[in-house]
Amino acid sequence: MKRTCGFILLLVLLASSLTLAAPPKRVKQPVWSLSLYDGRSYTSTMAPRAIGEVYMLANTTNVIGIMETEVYWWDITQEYMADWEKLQKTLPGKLQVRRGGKVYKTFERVRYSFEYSQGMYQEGKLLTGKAADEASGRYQKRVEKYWNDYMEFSKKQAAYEQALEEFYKDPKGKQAPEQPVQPQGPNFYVTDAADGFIVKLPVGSYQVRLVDKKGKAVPGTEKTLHVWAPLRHGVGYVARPESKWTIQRESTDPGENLYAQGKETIYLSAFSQSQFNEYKYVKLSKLEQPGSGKGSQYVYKWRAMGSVPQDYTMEVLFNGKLQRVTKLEPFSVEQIPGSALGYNIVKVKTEEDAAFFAYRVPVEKQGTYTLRLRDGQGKLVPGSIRTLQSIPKVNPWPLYVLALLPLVWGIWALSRRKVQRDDF
Amino acid sequence: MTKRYEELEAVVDLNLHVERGETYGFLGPNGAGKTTTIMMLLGLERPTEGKIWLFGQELSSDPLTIKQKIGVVLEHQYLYDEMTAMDYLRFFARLYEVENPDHRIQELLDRVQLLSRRDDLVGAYSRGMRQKLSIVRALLHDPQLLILDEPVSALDPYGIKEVRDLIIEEQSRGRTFFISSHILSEIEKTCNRVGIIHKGVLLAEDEMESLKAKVQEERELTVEVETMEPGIEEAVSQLPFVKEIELLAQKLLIKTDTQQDYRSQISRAIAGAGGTILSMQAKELSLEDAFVTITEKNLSLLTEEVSK
Amino acid sequence: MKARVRWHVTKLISQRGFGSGLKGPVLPFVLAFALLISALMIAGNVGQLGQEGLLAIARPMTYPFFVAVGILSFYLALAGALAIVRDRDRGTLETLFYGPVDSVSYIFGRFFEHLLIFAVLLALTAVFFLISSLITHFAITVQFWQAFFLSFFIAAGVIAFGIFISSITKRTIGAVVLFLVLMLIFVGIQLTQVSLSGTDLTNPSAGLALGVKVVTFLGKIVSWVSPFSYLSRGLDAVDLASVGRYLLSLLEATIYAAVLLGASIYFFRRRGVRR
Repeated sequence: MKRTCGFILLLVLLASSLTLAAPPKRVKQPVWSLSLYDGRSYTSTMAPRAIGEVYMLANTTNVIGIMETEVYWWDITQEYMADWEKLQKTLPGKLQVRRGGKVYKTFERVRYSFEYSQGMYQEGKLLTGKAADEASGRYQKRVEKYWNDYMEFSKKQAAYEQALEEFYKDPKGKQAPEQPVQPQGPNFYVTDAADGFIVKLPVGSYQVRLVDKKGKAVPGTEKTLHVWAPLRHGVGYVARPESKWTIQRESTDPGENLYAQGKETIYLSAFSQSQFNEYKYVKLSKLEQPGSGKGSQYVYKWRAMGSVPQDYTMEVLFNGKLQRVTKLEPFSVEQIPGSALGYNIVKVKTEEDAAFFAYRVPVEKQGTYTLRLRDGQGKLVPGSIRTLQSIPKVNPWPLYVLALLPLVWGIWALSRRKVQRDDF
Repeated sequence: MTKRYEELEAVVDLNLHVERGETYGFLGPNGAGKTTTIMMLLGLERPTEGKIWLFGQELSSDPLTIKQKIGVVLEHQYLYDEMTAMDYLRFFARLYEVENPDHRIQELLDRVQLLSRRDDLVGAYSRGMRQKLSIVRALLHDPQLLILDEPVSALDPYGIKEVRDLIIEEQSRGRTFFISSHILSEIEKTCNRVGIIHKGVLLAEDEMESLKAKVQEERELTVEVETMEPGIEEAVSQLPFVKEIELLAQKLLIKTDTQQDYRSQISRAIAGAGGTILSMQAKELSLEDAFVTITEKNLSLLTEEVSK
Repeated sequence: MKARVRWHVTKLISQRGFGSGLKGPVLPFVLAFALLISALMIAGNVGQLGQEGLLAIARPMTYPFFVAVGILSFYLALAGALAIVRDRDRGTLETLFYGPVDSVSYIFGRFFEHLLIFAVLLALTAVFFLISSLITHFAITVQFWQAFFLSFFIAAGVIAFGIFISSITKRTIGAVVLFLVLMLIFVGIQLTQVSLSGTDLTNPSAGLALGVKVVTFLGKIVSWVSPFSYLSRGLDAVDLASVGRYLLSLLEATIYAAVLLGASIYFFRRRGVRR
């Protein structure tokens, strides 16, 4: 009996594992391959046939490629995936953009590539036309040179090791061999130049499709393109109190107040930011996940776009009067030596030694401080104003008492009703 | 007016006419269409066909102004139980924009013996008290027309008398009443004219006496004589209008037709036969009898003018 | 004359209901509950500041205020849903209509009754927040007053929704059930929309494709029909400090209330005043 049950269980498990292991269904179809600008850098995403709506930031340069490939649904990550390696066939034609039923613009394919001048994981720059080919060629050459240099280095390294071995056998009177210098790889990165549609559009909704030479729509390529703009721009801060510098508070909403208790020194790092519709922003990079951004259609979030320029100064006003003007300075955190725990935040001389850059704001008195940035020309930076309130410590129990005060009214009403009922 | 509810005709071609200052009794068995008629008069139900004119104005033209002239007491008393009687009446006094409301309220409460209970919750009132309170509410704004549906059904004899006296007093002030009630004795005592409705159709509408006369097929007279002389019975039976005569000791029970009042002729006949009349009483048909006769026989007593 | 009588009656009905509402025992408990939830939120911020020494918070009073308004609005929507049916159930509606009362004055009377009650609750809530601001030193910002003003219009829409429910139902229990069922449906549709957005639509079955279309369509309807969608949009408008969205929220809530009150009058007339 036990053996039979075990055998049946094994069969069931085997069958289910086979089912689970069944490869997902692949469907050949036109796909939009997208490099979309998100305000800081370019993100890659794609829109298969099932995704009918694409989102793009207004007045920014974006890249659309339309290719045929095999698409399948990957259940584990709940997204569509494309097997570019197996099939990547560029569909010929022009990109037709329509608005209000009429043709708004038509785009031809151009050469393009992305240059990352500070390395692969930094912000990229879109290059088009000849510049794309040149940059790509330059990178390829650099990479080739690096590999050639490395091959040379490898040979030299092998010779060096042998020479060193010989030297160690009888070092008397001999000079140690010089170790060859390892070649440096390229400190920039450029993608391979490819053909795509470079699209820049104002705010609006468009019907976009690929059309062939005869002007006929290529089936399966039409999508709705929503071009949208950030709601607002401003300045965000990361605030670190000196007494608890590991606790960083981000202030992105211009309506936010900062609250500090007692005497404190606050270090404020500033960054420029824009407020985006969260759903549309997420779709810039996760279009292939239908569930991405779900529930956030009406959510707006601030996103950092980059540090503020170093020549920005911070004005600190106390109860409306200008108290000081501070510059952006580099700081480091020094552990207090010895067994006692503690640290000091100190200003450093060079940028390389800095742990962070910030405006130093001592909060000495209780009251209202107003913080605002001025640019190099002395103009007020929009969205940079914040209020910092220095308040005393508070026990919140009176709030509960206050909240429960209406119960007095309720008890009066109940007793009144009881008296009336007794009269019945 | 006609009122139809899907397949049911609750009121059919009803024509009512109530004069100013009149007290009109509206009678009918249960389900005859009385309440539906009253609902239409109050604008709470819309007639399927026909129009309603009140105070010379069509009801639908300005119902708000017209309803300010009407006081209503219906069979079921739906009151705000959580309010005191005084507060309840004050609310309605304000609704009708009564001047000097407290004085008016106290005056009316006094008339119905509720003044001492004015600060009690309405919810604590008995059924009879609630009915009286409703009557007070209806009179607050000195309405020209009072519509009453079973105004005394929950009252004890004292209460009934109070309300009757109140109605009679208000009648003398020229107020118009439209009363629907099953207590026909009260209708007889208070109403000038009566309308009888049955199965949605108005069967009769007339002055009280005329209506009874129309329904009454014979009149009964009881004559008491000093001594029953031998020729008295023969003398009376020879009268052409006498249908039947019965002797009971010193009394004669004489049945005549209803064409006219034959008492003088009967008196002369008895006197001529040597009799001395001690008393002569005519037995009147009661309203109840008339009502039962009309509704049981579905008798339509409407003249051509009325039915138009 | 008609207008004058109507206005007089509307005022009277609203005053009566307002008076009896304030003397009732339920309102203070609802208010205490709403304020207690807000107090917990504010105290949470106080505690966080005490622990971490620094707090960055936008509108520390506005979110708790909106939560309080949400709770009070929900109660008033339910009270509105019971307003007419209870009068009809008791028979007092019929008695009222013997007099110079029509559907317009009655509906508006009940509407203003609840709106006045909300105004009192709103004022008390504002006092609570002002005192809380003094205790905690958390600022009352301009956005708080924007939210304060906007909430009046949103409450009007919420109350009108409740009155509409009351005008189309026959009995008290029916009104309560319908109100709760509609609330569940609104929430259900929104949750279904959110969950369906993560579904594979490579080759959707006919049923699923139709289901997605239906739910999307229903979701759009809910965003205009549910009174709490207006509360949510109002909160967004204040959050985003957008004058355009703020004014649009005011207008939307006003139109929503007007449409519902018009519909309430229509259905009330059709149903009549009798039990």
